[in-house]
Amino acid sequence: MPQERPLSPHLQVYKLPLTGILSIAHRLSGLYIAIFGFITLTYWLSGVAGGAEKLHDHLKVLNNPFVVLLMFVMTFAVFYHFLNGIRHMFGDIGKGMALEQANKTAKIVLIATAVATILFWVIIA
Amino acid sequence: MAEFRLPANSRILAGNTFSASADAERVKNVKVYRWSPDDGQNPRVDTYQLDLDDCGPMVLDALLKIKNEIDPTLTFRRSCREGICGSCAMNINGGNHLACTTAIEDIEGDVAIYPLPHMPVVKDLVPDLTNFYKQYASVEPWLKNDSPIGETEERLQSVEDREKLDGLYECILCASCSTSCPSYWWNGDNGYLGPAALLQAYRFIADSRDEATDERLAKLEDPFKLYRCHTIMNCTNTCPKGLNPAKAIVTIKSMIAERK
Repeated sequence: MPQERPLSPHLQVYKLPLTGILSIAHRLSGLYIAIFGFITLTYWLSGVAGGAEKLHDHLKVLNNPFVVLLMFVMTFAVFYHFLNGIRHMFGDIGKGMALEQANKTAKIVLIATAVATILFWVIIA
Repeated sequence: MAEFRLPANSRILAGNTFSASADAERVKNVKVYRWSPDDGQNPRVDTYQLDLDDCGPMVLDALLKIKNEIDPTLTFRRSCREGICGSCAMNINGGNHLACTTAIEDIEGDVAIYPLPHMPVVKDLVPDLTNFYKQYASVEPWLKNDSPIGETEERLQSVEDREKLDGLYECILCASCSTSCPSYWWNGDNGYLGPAALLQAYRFIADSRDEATDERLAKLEDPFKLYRCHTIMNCTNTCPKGLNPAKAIVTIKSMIAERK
């Protein structure tokens, strides 16, 4: 009686190319924005609705350095998701689908995201 | 549902090492996935130390050397040794390539060879491609044309129309692209046709001699068959013939959208 066939390794061995990394990062950034964004927005609004004292308490939490760091990641995720979303929409109409173009626009998205995130924090600082 | 870990019977154990002779100068470690249906054991990775001065230049040459001189039970598919038959597609150092067109010298460090990813393994580097061929057959890869034609006539095509098939007809069905695709890993068994079958579906949609374009598009309009593609582009990155299945899939999607 032969054994049941094993499944060959996949995630365990496959090295994602740049376009693959951007694709999974698009999903993860969307997830991060949805979860973290939703929680912080609700928390801030509940402070606003609860009056001056409550808002003061909630803002204190939101200004905690760790939460600010998560906010920084949040802005990176938002810019990334936005810019890569535009890149995907061009792909949907068949533009930039050649491999060299896709790799080039991938790099542009990454650089633009970094620049936009830093500019944002410089401006609000 | 996507299952990210390997099932218990598929987890890879440490294997054996076969050392090179002491006087070998250019030694390369070649690590190869091994599994036999006959011994009741889990897969393992064996390491073969090869003397590059006594070995052909390609990864396929290394496998043949191992099979001929070290372990005749090593099992893999190969035929043409020049990148046209598609038999020796396998995962080499994290990407899917043809062993016969991948030079050992281009690989830095150790060479790591696994079967094409997320496939049932028949033995060693031989995956079961039954489902892959079924998907190919399901796109009906032949010309459909009911227009009458004289016995001595041919169905002619203009030079321009013929050029539309460039980048489509060259596919050798090696399965590198489909088995590089995470969507195919998670949904290849649930109806997603995968990049190889979809590229061939488009090859006949794009053919001016084929009259079944509308029927073909209607058949592909399905959340699983076509729309599990999320333009990850692993397929285009890995294709050993430099083809672009991701672009063909995007074109099919546009044609379906315009059809309404």
